[in-house]
Amino acid sequence: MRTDRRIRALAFFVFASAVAASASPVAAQPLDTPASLAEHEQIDAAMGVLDGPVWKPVWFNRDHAPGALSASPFYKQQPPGAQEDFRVPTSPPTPVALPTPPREPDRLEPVPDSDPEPEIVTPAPSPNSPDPGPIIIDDICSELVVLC
Amino acid sequence: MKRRRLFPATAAIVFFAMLPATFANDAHAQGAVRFQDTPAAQAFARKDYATALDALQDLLAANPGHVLVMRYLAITLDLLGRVDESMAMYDEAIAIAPGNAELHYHRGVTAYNANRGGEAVRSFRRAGELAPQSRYAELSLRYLDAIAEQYAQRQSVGKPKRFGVYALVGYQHDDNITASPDGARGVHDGERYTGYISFDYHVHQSSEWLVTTSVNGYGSWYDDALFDDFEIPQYMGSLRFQKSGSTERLPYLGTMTYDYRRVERADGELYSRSHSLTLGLRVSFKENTASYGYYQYTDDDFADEGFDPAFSSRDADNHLVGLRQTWFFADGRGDVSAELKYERNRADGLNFDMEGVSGTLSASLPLPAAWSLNVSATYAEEDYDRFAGPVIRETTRRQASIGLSRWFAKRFNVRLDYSYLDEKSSYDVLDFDRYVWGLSVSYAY
Repeated sequence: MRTDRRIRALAFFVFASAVAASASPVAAQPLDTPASLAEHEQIDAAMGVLDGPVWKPVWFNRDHAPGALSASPFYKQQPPGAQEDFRVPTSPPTPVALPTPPREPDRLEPVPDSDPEPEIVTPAPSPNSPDPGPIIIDDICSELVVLC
Repeated sequence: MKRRRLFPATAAIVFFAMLPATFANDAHAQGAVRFQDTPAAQAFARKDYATALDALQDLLAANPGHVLVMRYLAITLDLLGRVDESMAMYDEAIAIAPGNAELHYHRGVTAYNANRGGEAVRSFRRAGELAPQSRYAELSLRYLDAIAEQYAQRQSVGKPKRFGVYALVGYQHDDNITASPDGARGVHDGERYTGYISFDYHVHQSSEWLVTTSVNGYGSWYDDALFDDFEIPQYMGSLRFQKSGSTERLPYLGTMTYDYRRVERADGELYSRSHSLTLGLRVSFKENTASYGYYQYTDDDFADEGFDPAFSSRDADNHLVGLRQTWFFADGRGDVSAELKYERNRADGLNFDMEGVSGTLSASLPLPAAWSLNVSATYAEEDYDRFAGPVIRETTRRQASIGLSRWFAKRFNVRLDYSYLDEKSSYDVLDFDRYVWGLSVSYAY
């Protein structure tokens, strides 16, 4: 009887061990060891752990970086006078006595008693007359001293 | 008789029971199992890290000292937030296989994500040395580049969190708050207290893209009521797109940023509002260097139009082009930069139509006890060619600053700064100089 019990217990133990072994076949198995760096890279790539860094924000203009406060808290501060008028003040024009124009009635309504000055009519040059040539300023000056 | 019958029955049970295990052992004999085929790897691949952890521990128990399993156990512990256990597992694996580049690389990644800049740098450098032509070395270079940039920008090292908060409180002594000309009568110096807070939300973050929205506000307060008009609140909102990657082993990063800035006077009246768009490209042509190029367009609208908008309006389209070259040293903890800028301000008022160039040299030097010394010098020239005055307005600006900063507990940064500005103009009334020194404490999450 004792032997029977021993045989049954042995059978149960063997059965249970075999079931346990077959239930987790891989954990108990020896693992392959990748032989090369390329194999390691393949495993990491397949597992999704071969990425570059997640960067923090990079500030190209360092004046804009958080906490990078310039000496002046004012945005683009200018000296206080910068928005004043810098134009040279133009001096007011000196008053000049302008010639008084003739009164309109005098011009439009000639007095019949006065002697009208004879109208000077410049004769039109004859088509055949010689070309007067260029105007020579010196000639004019010799006659009109006031002008020159 | 009974006992005789029992033996064949028992033998049959044992035979059938052993059959599956025998086949399994045959599989062993035929060849080892690939890691990717294990339940642990499959759980990991479907991001079920809790299950993966248990399975990896079983796998390691069955394959003691298997560094591939140890690596994935460390990665899983990191992904579950158990950083110290993860680092200990890496160290244990590295003790078994010190020449394993992939172990050093992944240890660096864990250290980077845990804001452990120094450890990350050491691990990435080792990975690069062990396998210089590998993908691990290429990615290590990108991590080292990101860390160097974070040091240079005085950010805490590591991956950004989904929500970010940056808060700063500061004290400044300003000897010319009004930017008044030398010899001008009245009080110009005073004490300023500043506060700044910024909230970031990373709408999308991956190793390639970072899309961020942020809002921030700034305020300043003075002891002296004389400067009440200078207590100006500012508000800003931004949307940023940032793309990083590498091409031909050259790490690059490109950004496009839109900013809206509104500045108000203390009484709530508008001082200015601006829209700007910045396009930037950063390339590392060589390890330990970074080249930056950027273009920024700003549309400025100032409330104060001056005596006649045709002459004195500051409303403008501003174009700014900048180039900066940075050299990193001391594992990214130190850097030297040279920067050139060209600016064209097309203002509505003739007096603010301006063209300018500037050059800046700056450096950040690591000091003992994790302090860093920051120095900077800028020279700038501006020509206001359409200035309505007896002569055109020309401005030269010299600016220098020096500061000390240090991170405490990875989140708090303390800064002590001194800056001096000397602005000379072809108009004496626009000459001024100014020095400011201040102390600030900031918190970054």
